[in-house]
Amino acid sequence: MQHSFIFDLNKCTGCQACQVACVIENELAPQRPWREIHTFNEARYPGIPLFHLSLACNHCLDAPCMKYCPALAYSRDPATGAVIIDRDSCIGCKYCSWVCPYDAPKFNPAAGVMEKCTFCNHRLQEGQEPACAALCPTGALQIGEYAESGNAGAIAGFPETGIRPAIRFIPLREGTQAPECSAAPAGEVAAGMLDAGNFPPSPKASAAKIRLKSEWTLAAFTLVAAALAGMTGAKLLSGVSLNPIAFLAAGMAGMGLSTLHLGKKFRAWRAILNWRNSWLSREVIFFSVFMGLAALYLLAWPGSKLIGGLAALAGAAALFSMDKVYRVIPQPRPVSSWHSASVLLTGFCLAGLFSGNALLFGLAGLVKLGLYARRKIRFQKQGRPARPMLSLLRVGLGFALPGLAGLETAGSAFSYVAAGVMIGEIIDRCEYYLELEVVTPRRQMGADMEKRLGAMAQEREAV
Amino acid sequence: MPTYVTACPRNCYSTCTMKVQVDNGRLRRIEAHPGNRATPEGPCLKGLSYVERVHSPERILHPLKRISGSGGFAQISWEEALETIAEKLRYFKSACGPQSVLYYSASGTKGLLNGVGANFWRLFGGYTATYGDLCWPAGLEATRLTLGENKHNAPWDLANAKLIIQWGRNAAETNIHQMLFINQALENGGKLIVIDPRRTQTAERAELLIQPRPGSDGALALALANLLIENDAIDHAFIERHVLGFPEFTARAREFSAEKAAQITDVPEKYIHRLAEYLGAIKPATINAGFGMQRYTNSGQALRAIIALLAITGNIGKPGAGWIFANLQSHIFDAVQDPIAFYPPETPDGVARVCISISKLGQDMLAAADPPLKMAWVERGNPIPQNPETPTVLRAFRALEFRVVVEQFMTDTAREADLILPAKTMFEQSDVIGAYWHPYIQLKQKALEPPGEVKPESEIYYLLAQRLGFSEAEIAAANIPAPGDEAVEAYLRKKLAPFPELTLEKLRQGPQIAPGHQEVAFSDLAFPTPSGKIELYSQEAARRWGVDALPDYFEPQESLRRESPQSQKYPLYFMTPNTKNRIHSQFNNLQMIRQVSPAPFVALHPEDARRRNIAEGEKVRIFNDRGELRLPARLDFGLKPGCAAVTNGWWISEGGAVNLLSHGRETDLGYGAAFHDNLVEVERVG
Repeated sequence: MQHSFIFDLNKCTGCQACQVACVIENELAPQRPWREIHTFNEARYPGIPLFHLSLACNHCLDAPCMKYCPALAYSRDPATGAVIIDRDSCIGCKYCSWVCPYDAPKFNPAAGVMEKCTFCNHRLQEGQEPACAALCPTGALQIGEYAESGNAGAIAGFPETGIRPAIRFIPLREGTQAPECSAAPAGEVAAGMLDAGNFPPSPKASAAKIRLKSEWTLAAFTLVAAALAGMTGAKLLSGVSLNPIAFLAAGMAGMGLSTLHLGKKFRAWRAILNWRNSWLSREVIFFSVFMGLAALYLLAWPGSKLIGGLAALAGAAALFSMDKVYRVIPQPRPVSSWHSASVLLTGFCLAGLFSGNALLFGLAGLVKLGLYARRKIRFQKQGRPARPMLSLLRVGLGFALPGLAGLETAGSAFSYVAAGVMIGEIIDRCEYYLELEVVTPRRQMGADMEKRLGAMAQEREAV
Repeated sequence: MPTYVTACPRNCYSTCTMKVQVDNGRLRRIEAHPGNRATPEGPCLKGLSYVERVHSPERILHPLKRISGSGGFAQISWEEALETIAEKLRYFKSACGPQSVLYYSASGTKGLLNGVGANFWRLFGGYTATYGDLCWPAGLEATRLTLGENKHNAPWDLANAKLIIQWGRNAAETNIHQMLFINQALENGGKLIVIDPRRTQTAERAELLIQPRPGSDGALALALANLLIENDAIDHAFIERHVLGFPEFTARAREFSAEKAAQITDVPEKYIHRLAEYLGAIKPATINAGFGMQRYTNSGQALRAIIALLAITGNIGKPGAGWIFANLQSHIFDAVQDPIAFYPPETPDGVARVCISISKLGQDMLAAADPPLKMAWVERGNPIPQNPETPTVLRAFRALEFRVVVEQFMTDTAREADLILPAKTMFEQSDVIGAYWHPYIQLKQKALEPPGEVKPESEIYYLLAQRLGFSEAEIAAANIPAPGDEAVEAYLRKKLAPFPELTLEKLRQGPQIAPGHQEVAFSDLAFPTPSGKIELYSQEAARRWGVDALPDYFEPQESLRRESPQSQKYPLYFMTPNTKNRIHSQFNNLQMIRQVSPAPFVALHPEDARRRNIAEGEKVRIFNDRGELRLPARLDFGLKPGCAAVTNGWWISEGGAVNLLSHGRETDLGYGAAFHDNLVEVERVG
C-alpha cells in the first residue's frame, strides 16, 4: 500500500513534538532533524491566519530525488511506498536536495551522504505508524492510504510542483481561520504599519540552498568544460592549434574539481549509473566521452574532421546536459528557461572567439546579451539585486570589448579581448550560482505571505 | 526491549502517561499510552526529550564540592559529602538552633516520596519552611471561597461545551492535550473566545481575541456581569437556589458599566457587549482561567468576579459547562488540600518555623531573625532565577554560611551551592503522583538504575539521618524509607492502603481514576462553602484576606493608571508567559529543546518598537529599578501595544532570567506571587 501523510491544519499547534519524535526514533543529531515545522504568518499580521505545516519527505509518487539521483541510491519500498536512500550507494552529491521542493534530503557531513525521512519504514513494516504521527499530541499528523485526488485547493506555504506528494491536507475550517483581535481588528491596522519599512523579515529566512561559496568548484568545472568544448570547436572550424597537454590537464583538473564537493569521493564513479534518467549522469558520461575523443583528436589524429567533429558533438552534449542539470530544479521565481550563463551558449561563443568566427561569436553573444538584459530588467522590477556595476563590467568586457575591438586583432591584443570575454563569462556564471533559487516550503511560505499582504494593501487602498 | 508504563511528574496540567522502552540500560524511546483519556496521543516535546535528559552528558552524577575562591566544583565521595553536611547540621543546630536551616523545596518533581524531606527535617529537630506558592494560590483561593472546592469537569468533557472562554490561558503551549478537546468542541459547532493581551497559539482558531490591559481582568468580568444582569440573561432559578449574595453582587457589578470597563481595560465597548451576548445566549459555557493572569496583586478578587459569571448564568454542575482552574480530585493523599495546605499554620508546632513567604523569598530570608538563617537545603527547585526578585534572592543565598543543592544539572541555583548532591530523574525511583487537570492517579515507575553515584533523595535523607546518629528505629518511625526499591514500595503501599481500588499492581498497568471522581464537577450541586451555596459574598474572604466580601476591582500595584514615579518611568507591562519548550526553568539545556528554542528574545508590538527606534532583531535593554535584561527584539503584530513579553524559565547564564526585573510581593488572596505586576521600559542598546 502506498502510504500518505494526513495533516490537519486545524489541529496542529506547532508544538514540534513530531520533530523531536523523529530525532529520537531515527537517532539523529537534534541539529539536523528530518522533520520541521514551517509557520505561516509568524509575525501575526492581523486578519491573516497563523498556522503550521509539519513537513518531512512526502514520498512523492513522481519523486524527483529518485528520478534524478545520478547514483541510483534511491528506491521505493513497494510494500509501503516509502522512498528510501541507500547510504551505501549515495555519493553525497546533494543533487537530490536541489530538485526536491520540500527540502527533505539533508546532507550528513559526518557520514558524507544524504539522509532523509524514511517514513519510519521499519515501523510501517511492522504495522506501526511513523514516530511523528504516533506521537503527535493533538492528532494533527496521521497516516493513511494515498489518494490521487487528495488535495482540493492550494495550501499556503506548500510547494505544488506536480510530483504527486503523498500528503493530504485538511484545510482550516471556515470561520476559525484567524481571530478578530480587539487590539488590532483586521482592516483597521494603523496606516503604514504594513508598509515596507515595517515588515519584519521572517526570523527564519534561511540562507539559500545553493551558494557560490560552497559550489564554486561546480562553477569552475562547468566553465572549464565550456572553454574546452569551445576550443575543440574552434580547432575544427579554423584549425587553431591547441596544446594537448594543457588541454587534457585542464579537463582532468575540471573533473577533479567537480568531485571535490562529493561527500563520498571514492564513489564518484557511481555518478554515471542513472544515464537513463539523470542529466547529471549524462553530463559525466558525455564529458568523459568528450575528453576521450578530444585526446584522440589532439594526440592521434589532429587532422581528422570525423574525430574532431565527434569530439565537438560530445562536448556540446556534455554542455547541454550541464545546462539541463540545473534546468530541472524547481524555480520559485523563474525568469526564463534559458539563462545567459548557459554553458552551451558559452561553448558556442568561445568556439566563435577562438576560431575568429565573428558570425558564430556574434550570434551566441547576442543571444546571451539579450537574455542577460532581460534578466536584469526583471530583477530590477522584482526588487532582486541587479548588481549594476558588475553588470556593466560583464557587458563591457564580454560584449562591448570584442564588439569594438573585433576578433581579427593579432597577438597580445587578441589575448586581451579573449581575457575580457572569459572574465565576462566568469561573472555571468558566478551570478548564476548566486541567483540560483530552489523552491522550499520556507520560501513558499514567504512568497505566499507576501501575496496575502499585497492583496491586503490593495484592499486598503481601494477603501 | 522491556517496556514500562510511567507518568511525567512535572508541575504541568497534562501529567502524561507514557510507555518507555529501555534498551541495554538506556532509554530508547517513549510511546503514547491511550489508557489516559486526557493524554491519549502521547506527551509533548519535553516529555519526549527525556530520552536525552536522562543520559545527558551534562548531568551531575557525583557529589560536588565548591572549590573555595573559584567558581568551580570538585568531585567528592558520598562519604565526604555526608560527613560535611552532618558536621554543619550539628554545628548550626547547637550554635543557633535547628530553625537556622531553611528547607526549600519546589515543584520540580511531584510525588508522595517528596514528603520524606519534611520527615527528615522534623527528625533533625526543626527547620524553617516557606509558605504560599509561586504558581496558583489566588485562583485556588478565589475558587475555594466561591465554590468551596477546587475541582472541575473531566478534561474530555470540554468537547461538550458550546462556548469556551480561555481567559488568560494558552493551552496550546501549557496544556497542549486540551487542544484535542477544544478542537472537538469547535468541530461540534462550539465557539472559542480567548482573553489575552497576546495573540497566542491558542487564540489562532478562536473567533475573537479580547486583549485587555494586563491586570485589568476584574473590571472586564464585572462589566460582563453587569450587562448579563441588565439584559436579564441570567438563570434566576439557579441563582435562587445555589447562589449567596446575588443582590449585593448586582450592586457591585452596577458600578462597572461597559463604558467604564472599556476605559479601564482598553477593550473597545463593542467587544464587551459581544462577549456578554455570547455568555448570555450560548449554553453550556466553560470558562477556563490560566495561572499567569492570577499573578497580579488584584487577581484573587478578579477571579472571584469571573467565577460569578458562571454562577449567575447557571453554568455550573453541567456537562460542557463550568469553571476550569484546577482539578484537585486526584489529590486524595493530602491530609489538607491546597491552598490551605500551604498557608502558615494558625498554631505553630515549634518544629517547623513557617515564616518565609515564597513570594518574598529573598527579603524574608534576609529578615529572618531568632534565629537568623545560616544554611539552606534546596531540592526540586531553582529559586534564584525562578522566584520573584532574583537579585534579592541571590543576595540572600550568598548571605548564608552553607548551601546544599540537590540537582540534576548545573542550574543558576546549583552554581551558588557549597555542596551539590546528584539528583535522580523520574525514571530512577518509583513514586505515585496525582494531577491537577485530569483525575488520574499514576505510578511514575522506575525504569532505570540511577547512573553514576546518583542517589534518590529518600536515600540521601536516610544516610544523613544515620550519620547524625539516629537509630534504625527512629528513622523508621520518622517514615524515611531505607535504601532500595523494596522499602520505597512499602512506603507507597502504606500511602495507598486507605484506597483498596488502588494497588501498585494496578497502577503498573496504567493510570487509575481517583476514587470518588466526579466526571461533572458539582453535578450534585453541593458546595462545601460555609453557606453551602456558591458564595459571591464571602465573609471568609473579608476576614482572612482583608478584602471586600464581594468581588472587586482595583488597580494592581504596578499599573500605568496609578499615579506613581514608577509608572512615569516604566510605561510597558512586562509579561513573562510560559512556553511549550520548558516547564519553568527545566528542559532548555537539552539539545533537542535548544534546537527549537535557541535563545531568549523580547516580543514588542511594531508600534512600540518604532517609537523607540527599534527594528526586528536589534538588541534592546529591558529594565526597571530592579534590574535589566539585554535581548534581541522580535516584532509581534499580535501583541497588545504597551506590552513587552519574554518567556519565563531562561537561566541567568542564558541571559534571559525574567525575575531579574520582578518584585517580590503577594497576591491579594492565597499568598501567591504577584510577579506579573511588573512595569518596565525598553530601549535600543547602542
